[in-house]
Amino acid sequence: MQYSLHDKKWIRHENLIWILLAQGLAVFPILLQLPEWLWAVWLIAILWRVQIYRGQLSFPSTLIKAMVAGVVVTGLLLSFSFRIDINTLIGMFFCAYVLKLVEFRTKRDGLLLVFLGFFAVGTQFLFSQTMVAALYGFISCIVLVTAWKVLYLDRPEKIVTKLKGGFVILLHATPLMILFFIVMPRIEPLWSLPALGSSAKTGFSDTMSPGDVGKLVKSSGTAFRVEFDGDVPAANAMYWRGLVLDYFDGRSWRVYPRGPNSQPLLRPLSSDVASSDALSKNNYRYTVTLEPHDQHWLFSLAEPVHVNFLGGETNLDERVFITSKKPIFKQVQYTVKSVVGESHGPKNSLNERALTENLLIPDTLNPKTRQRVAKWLAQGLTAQQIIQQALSQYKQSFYYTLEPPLLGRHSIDDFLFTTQQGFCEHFASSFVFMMRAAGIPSRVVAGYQGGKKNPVQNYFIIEQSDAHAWTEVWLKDVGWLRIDPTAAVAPERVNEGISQALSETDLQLVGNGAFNELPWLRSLRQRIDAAGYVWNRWVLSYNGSTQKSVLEKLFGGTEPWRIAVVIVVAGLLVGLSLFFYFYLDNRKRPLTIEVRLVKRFLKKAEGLGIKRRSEETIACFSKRIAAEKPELAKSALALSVLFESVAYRDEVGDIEKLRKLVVAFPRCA
Amino acid sequence: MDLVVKRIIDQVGQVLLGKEHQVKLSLACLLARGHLLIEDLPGMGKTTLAHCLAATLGLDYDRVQFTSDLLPADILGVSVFDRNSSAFQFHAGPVFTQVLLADEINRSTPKTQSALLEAMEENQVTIEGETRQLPVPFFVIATQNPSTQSGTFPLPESQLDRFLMRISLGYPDESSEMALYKGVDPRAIIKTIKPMVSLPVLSRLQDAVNDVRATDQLLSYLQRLVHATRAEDKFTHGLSPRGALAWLRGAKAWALIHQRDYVVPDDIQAVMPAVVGHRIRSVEYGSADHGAMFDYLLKTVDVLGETA
Repeated sequence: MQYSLHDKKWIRHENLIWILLAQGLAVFPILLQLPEWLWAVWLIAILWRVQIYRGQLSFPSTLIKAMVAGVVVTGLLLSFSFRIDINTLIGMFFCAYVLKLVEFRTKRDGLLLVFLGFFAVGTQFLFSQTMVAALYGFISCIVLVTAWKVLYLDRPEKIVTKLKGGFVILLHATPLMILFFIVMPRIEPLWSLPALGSSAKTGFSDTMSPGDVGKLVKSSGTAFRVEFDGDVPAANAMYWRGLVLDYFDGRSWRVYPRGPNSQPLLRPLSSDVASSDALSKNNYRYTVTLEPHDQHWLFSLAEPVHVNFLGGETNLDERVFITSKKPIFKQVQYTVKSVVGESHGPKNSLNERALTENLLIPDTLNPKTRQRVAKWLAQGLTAQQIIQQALSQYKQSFYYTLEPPLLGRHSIDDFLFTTQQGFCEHFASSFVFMMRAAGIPSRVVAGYQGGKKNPVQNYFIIEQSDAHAWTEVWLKDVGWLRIDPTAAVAPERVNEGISQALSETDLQLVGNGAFNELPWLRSLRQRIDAAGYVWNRWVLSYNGSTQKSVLEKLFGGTEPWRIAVVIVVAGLLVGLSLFFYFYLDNRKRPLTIEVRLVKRFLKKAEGLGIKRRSEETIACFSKRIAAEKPELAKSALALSVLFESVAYRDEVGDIEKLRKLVVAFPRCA
Repeated sequence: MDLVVKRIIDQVGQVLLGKEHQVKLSLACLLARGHLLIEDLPGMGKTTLAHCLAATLGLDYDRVQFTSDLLPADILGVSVFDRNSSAFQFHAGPVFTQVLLADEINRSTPKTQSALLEAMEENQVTIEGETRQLPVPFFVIATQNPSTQSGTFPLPESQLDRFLMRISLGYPDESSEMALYKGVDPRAIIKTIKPMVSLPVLSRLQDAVNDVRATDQLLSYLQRLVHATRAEDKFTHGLSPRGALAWLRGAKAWALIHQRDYVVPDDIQAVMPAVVGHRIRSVEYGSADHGAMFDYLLKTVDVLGETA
């Protein structure tokens, strides 16, 4: 086979470098999710191709290619233990793509590599759809387009110029991309992406033992973000209910286990959260963007009355917390309307089951506590007085800390009478125990309390370090009343957030040291968080039903013909106006690049107070500038020389120099 | 080559003090293979310029004083019967030279003036049915008195068009005039002048004019200027295509003597009065006030390619 550098069909050294670079960028995110040995496949493919380029190796024969393919496929099947799922298929695609390098000899092969590169960029979104991933994908596309362009380039260009060219081409495609994003039908199995690459999630589990909330507070990460539509409740009223723990086994609290015969306590919630109706006082409407926590519950303010969750079906547990039918494996959004009142639930009587459940405590444990409560009862105190009594004892000698001493078998006794140091779960747990011992129905509520407002975008961010546990007691004629024992020992926790309630040493532990951040770093983090939030709110949450409402707004309906007509008509209008613009523009004398550049220079000079007369040549004008502003003499004269060289000598190579000088020319004094 | 041009200009400048621009224009005119018309009052140095230029370029030089009774044969030559050979013998007129100074050309009758026509255009003359080649190069420097003076026959437009450039010398400035008084008699200096350039070099210079580059950007400027002269409400007649070509050639020669191998708009502007002045006539100013006419033209046409 004849191989000549002058033959247009063959690739050049430069093509190889660009293709390698573009391919590398495109496959890198995929490679991170695949078995490690595939790095070796990639490296071998690159080395092989480079050696072919250097003349050390030849292009492989069909037999060798078949053998390599066989080895790689076997390896993949072994790695994925003969499961053929999407990961295996991505692995095969990856191998096929990188091994294509050793067949890469003509421009046509180069084209194939570029096109597959776009596919690879799309594949990476199976693993991550964050804004960072999107930005990375965009950059990969720029390099791919540049590599594509370089395949056909036959004059030298600077690297920056090439990349800029790629960027501009991609920019041209952006309007079409946005259009497709908006109107492409989101057919379910195609658009609901499999959850890949999930890692261990932090968050509440359905049990709570002493130390659990403390552990959560120490971990970093965001639990969810909330954007209010209209009024915002006070910070100390923001109790984000996660789940209600009503069963105590002596050590841990959990959601009451249901026997097989028991009726589920769930009722479906109305999903009608019309955004137009006005909100009365104490009614709040808000959208929660929940990070995945692999559990069923959704966070809300008490008491939720409507919820609109596009990701699936929701139910309201009778104990007043929202659950999703499917676990939350990926970020979701839902809108809730809550009525925030003093109390909620039935006021007159509790049903029998609720009564039993909310009074149940292990008989044999914590004798000292029982004795104390028995004493209160003997004194004939009312329920209200017992609550006050219990809270007031916390105020005396208890200490709020993130690092409490360990507790023994009688954990409540140990806490109340010996250690007297604890975190919110200790207070909540002991308080509910005392109430139940006193015959007052009560339960523990786990969730988050408070939230920081992001100053960039108008939303609240609730971190894991805002995790909290509090209690509810049921009183006749009142209903379920929220009581936060932590507020008795450390009121700052509720009013001003965790950072004010803990000692300096404890604070080091919160949120993985998040409170020790430098101010500029925190502000940067807030900005990044805000950008990510906007991305999630408007791009990732754009699904079938939001699309429907957007299309209805834009086109007055979702029928395909309607959308097609609007797009065709709009396209024709844009096309025609562009045609006429260029047609009319061409009838005028078109301006060349150097004239446009020099006009920019003239505009800048005008800003400095020197205006060119129409009969003045650029040389004369520059001399005038030099005379009037000696400090600009050098650049003005150099500029005029370059302009003359381009315009009157056809030295096209000087255009870039001219552009630089024009850009560098001072705008205004 | 650059040095040659500079030496020529310097040497002529030593004689014709303070007239560097006019010296350059006349040299550009010669390099562009065009003829030069100098219009000025008597005694302004017209003859000196012509003579000095011819001597510096090492060319044959002849001079004809045009008067109202000058006949064509006085310029072209005449055949005289030679008794010894019993044949007519052609006696070449003063036109058979390399540089011809036609002094006060507008004092002669149109018939005589037109005798020069063929010579200037075709580089040949036809006398008694026989065509004779003129020497190469052939360069006519004509001088004329302002047409307002008595006893003049104004040159017709067709004749004026034969001249690539028309310049006027004007009075010298103060310092040049002082230097003139103090210095040696210019006529004495001309006698000592040595040629600065050989004939082949001169002809190479003339060829180089054709190689000077004019880009589209520049030609567009020229075209827009030419187009502006054809505005009927401003000019009685505009510039002909031949005039436009002459303008371009003049600008190229001007670029060459400024050591450039490409034309810039400044060249076009610099040669404009000399090349265009005798070819167009404005409605408003006639041919009298050229300054205002040129100002108008330049202001109308933007150098950068936008019509104002």
